[in-house]
Amino acid sequence: MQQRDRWRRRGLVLGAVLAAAVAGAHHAPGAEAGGEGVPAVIKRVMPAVVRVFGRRSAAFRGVGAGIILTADGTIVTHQLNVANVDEPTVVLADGRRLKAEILGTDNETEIAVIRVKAKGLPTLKFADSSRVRAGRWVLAIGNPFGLAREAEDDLSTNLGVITAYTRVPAGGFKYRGLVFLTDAQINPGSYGGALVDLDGNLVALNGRVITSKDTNTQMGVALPVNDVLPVVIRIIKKSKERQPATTRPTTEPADTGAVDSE
Amino acid sequence: MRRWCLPAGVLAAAAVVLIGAAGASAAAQAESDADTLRQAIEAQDRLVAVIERVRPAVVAVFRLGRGGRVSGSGSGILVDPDGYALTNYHVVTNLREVRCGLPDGHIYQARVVGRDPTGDIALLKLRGKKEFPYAPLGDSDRLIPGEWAIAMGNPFNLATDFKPTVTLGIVSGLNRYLRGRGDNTLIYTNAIQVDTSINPGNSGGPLFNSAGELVGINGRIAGRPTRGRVNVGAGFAISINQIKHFLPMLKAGRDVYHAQLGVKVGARDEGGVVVEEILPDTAAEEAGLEKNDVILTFRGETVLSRQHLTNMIGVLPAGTAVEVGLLRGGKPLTFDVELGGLPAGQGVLAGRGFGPPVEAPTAPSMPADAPKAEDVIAAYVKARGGEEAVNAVKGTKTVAEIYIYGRRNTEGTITVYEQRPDKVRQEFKGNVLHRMRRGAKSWVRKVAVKQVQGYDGAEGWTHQPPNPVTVMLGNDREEIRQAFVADRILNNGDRPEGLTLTYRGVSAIGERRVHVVEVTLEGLMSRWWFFDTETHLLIRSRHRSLNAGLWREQDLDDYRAVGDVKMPFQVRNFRDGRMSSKVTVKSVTVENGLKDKLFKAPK
Amino acid sequence: MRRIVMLAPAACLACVCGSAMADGLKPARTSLDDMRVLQKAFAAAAQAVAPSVVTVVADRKAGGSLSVRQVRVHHGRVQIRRGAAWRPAPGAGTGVVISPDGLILTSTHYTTGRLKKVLVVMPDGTPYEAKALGRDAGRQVSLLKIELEEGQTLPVPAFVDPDEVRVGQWVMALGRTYGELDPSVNVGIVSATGRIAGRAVQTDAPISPINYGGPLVDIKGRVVGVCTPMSNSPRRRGTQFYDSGIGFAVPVTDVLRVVPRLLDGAVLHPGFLGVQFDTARVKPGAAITRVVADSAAAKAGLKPKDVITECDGKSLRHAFDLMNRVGRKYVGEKVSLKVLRSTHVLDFTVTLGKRPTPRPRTRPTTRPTTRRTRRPTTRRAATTRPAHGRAGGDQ
Repeated sequence: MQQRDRWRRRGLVLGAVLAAAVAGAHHAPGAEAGGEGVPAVIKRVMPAVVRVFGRRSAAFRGVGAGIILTADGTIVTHQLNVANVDEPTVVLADGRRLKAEILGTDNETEIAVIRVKAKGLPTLKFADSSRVRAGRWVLAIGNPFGLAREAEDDLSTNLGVITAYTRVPAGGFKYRGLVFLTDAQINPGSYGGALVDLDGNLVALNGRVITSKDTNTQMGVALPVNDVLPVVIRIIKKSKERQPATTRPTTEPADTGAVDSE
Repeated sequence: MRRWCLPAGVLAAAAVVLIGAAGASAAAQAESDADTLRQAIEAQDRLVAVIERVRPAVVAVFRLGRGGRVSGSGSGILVDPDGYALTNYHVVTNLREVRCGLPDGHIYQARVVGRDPTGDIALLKLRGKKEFPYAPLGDSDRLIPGEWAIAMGNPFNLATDFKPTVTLGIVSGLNRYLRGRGDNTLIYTNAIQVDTSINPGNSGGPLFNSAGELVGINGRIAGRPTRGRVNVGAGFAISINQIKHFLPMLKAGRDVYHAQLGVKVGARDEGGVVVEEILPDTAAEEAGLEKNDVILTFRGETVLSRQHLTNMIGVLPAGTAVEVGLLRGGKPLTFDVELGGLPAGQGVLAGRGFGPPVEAPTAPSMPADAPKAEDVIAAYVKARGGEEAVNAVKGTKTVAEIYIYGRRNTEGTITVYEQRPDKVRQEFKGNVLHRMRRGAKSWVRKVAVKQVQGYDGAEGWTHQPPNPVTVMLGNDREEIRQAFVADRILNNGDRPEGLTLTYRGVSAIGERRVHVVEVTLEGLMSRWWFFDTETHLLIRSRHRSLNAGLWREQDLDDYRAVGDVKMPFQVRNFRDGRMSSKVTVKSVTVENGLKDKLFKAPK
Repeated sequence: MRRIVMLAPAACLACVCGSAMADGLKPARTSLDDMRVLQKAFAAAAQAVAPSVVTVVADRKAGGSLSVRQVRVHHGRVQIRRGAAWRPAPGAGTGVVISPDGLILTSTHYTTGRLKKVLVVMPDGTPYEAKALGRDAGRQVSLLKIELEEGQTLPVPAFVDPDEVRVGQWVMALGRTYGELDPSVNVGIVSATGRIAGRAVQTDAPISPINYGGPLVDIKGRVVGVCTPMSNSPRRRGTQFYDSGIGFAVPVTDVLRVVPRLLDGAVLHPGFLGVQFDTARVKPGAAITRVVADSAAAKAGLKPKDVITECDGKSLRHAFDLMNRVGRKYVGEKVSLKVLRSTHVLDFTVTLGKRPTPRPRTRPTTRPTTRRTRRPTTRRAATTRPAHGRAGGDQ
């Protein structure tokens, strides 16, 4: 509770309106009389998820996703999408290609915050990620394998449930907090995309595929939105205090995707 | 004695107990939970019913391997009570016969009827049952992201009882494009992306919507290289609406090719596409499209992007007539274009030859006393031995040494049986030459190979034991057929409807002067023949291959008498300007009694 | 002006398949109501079964000789004490209680080797020492036994009769590796029944080391099977399929019938007949092409060209039918076969033997991926062959 209020106050202080009130776990009765379905949720949520293009590097095609946090252009994404590039390109759902400014990154959560010059952008409501339980349906929205090639192509959506809310020790993964594991598959290109529930509320930011030390298997992790927002605010604050010189993350993934046949 | 207990019976359907519930509210809670469970079970029952309804039509496709056993695994789906089933082209490639296991527990014989190598589809016809179960075709244009997508098939050959593996997911994305292989096969345009689990072995199997309608054929998956070839959440199906464009031709037993416009386009800042290059000898060139044209509409639909145009063209069969709306210099224009064909398969892969380059002829010039084309051909036939003698040769048996240039060269002996008007059989026995190297030493390792190829007037086939017999793709078979047609025009006086023979002038190939004759058969083919001005004999033939449009030349030399007829004893073949094979004839005998059976594919 | 897109006539091949197939069901795309109801049912079912889902801690380094004093649950994670320090237990696994007096089934993934003792941690955090008793090598499950106090019983879930399981029904795999407090949940459907020679239920719920040994649960809260890696090929363990939508669970009732033998510490192997078949054969029956030397079939006198028409009284449609029937049995059990040899009909009773040991297994593919093993990115447009499974029967 206290944490939530702190964000609200900070939001006002920064002059940026972070997406509105945290939505409760229940949706308004009668709002969707059972007929809309998952496709309608996807349609509603999709415009708030953007494509984030870095420069093509040898190992990673630099195509990823990001989530619009404020109507005036603050976007949260994954570090890998903006690695080795000064001004990443952002492609909005309406097809506009905008150059983004990197406000900062956080090596622990691997989050990057960027900003584009725009107005009236669509945003998502946030869920209270601390109350999300295993077994809840979620949709992962992003651009795995860069399959949404052109602006008019839909981003990809994967359906699954929240599998666990836990710590995952993994080599090269510095974050020690709790993350979501989910059935909704995450792949290169999905990083920085949104994990939403059936109400269309943002539950988590999709992270990358890591290899768990417990099982020696690969798993995609998603960062709970309650833990992402404070990091975002911290980054924004720091960027205002600092000179415009942006930090440039240099980590690159060990894995990449390719379209294969079977 | 310690007794371990089996828990008593099955929990009553409604008895899901919430731990910790207590008090008066517990009863209300329990009832609401019972309601929830009942609703969930009803939803589940609907899904189970849809699956059970369509499952009988799903087949497990097996290739006949060595020793007659089945090997490999893929999937398919019956779409017709007569036994027609769809699968992927890459599951059956050029096989003639496969085996299909049905969920009724039996295995059936099936013939590969038609193939779409670019679109990765093949049509099978099963036999052995009066009426087969089949699946209804849906409308893939009505799919939307987020709706259920059910896949059925035989991943990892797990369906030992032929009951398919059923997996559930959602449509993740639509209109996806996947690059094909180097030979223009397996190009997925307008593909359906699903997160339904699809793995090796699912190829060729059905993708259903929640109503149990067939909306796609599963064929490719995205991979993470560090995980090997397993599903990671992105599988792709060819849309049923694309397949519908080709189904009648496939049923008619044809190999089909996809449309090609022949333009390279770039994206415009304001959206849409602009032509950057017109490819030579394509539909775009013929229709009169030009560089810098802005393509506004295609078949009435506004072109949004490069990918959009590729998707619209990629689902159409070769030869489709389309209307293209352009903007040229600010003026709107409409063009009617008959789309060409995108060559696919072996011929495309063959590419240019690897041997020495061909000697190019000089540009022909018209002499003052230009002969007629017919006269040049007549002189040639006379030089060979005269009309009667040439026509009397009904069949030949040729034994020759052949050297084939390739990534690895091959040398050996061929025995070629030819039967007028249109049958041929070639038996090859020889070695593939592998260049080996270890340190400073290098040597050649010879690997023995035997192969028989034939064309019986209708079907072309290849047999390289112990592999099963494969059939030639349409384009390759058509190459052989056209070669026979040209041969009969040249040697036997055939003058089919639509034929034009044009004398093009005198040219020089190296030191020899040649008469150039162009022969065109309306809508079918066009070749150039080069006759030595002194000997009147044909020393070169040149045409554009059906596959990839590569130039093919054949040089003929060292004519010797075989009985009353002169035949060439030196043949050199060229592809795209470089030698692909060299044939030195050892003996030719006239064989007028060859049996038809010789040219038919072995069982 | 936009024109209506005219499809070529060939495209109007809309199905005229009549009422045989389309029964007027409106395509319920993905009704949110249904989804929410399922979600609630999943949660309730998980809660119902959770008390029977335990954490299995096998410390192979310590030779399996961990004691209860060396394990604890701390902040929701199982920890092991080494010397003075508490460290997270590497890869804790999952198990399912199958009897109130302390029998637990888990996956052999966690009890490979000569492990004799493991630790089992109850959902409430209480650790117990457990003996690792017998295992079913064909089903990849092993039996653990914990000693309870006088009068103490463990909660046992309901088990589903494998014949009742339907393809398309929802199932959840529960695990304890990442779910000490609430079990982890992975959802999917039943993809097929009677897989791996009739031993397993197949599901597309992601099955992986986080839930190997755990229960596969239906929406009524009953256990359909115990999740475990399996594969058609005797050489591959099946761990390479993790999270691919190819997963297996072994029905508990199948294992319960051999629990007495497992209690004695037996390692049970699936029965092996020792014949190869003509898998391309279209006529009913299994036609033998080869008999493995010294196998059960050889000893019984089966010969190539024999056609097996019946197995245990049931007629065979295809060679695979026989493989599935034999596959459910163990070494030492018998099958009765009716065989057609040229024109004679013969009866055979074969005592099943053990499959000859295959070549050494490939190492489990669940290795951490390090930068050094990264292969250069090449466009993998070339490989398009479907998996070459050996469809020929070796049984």
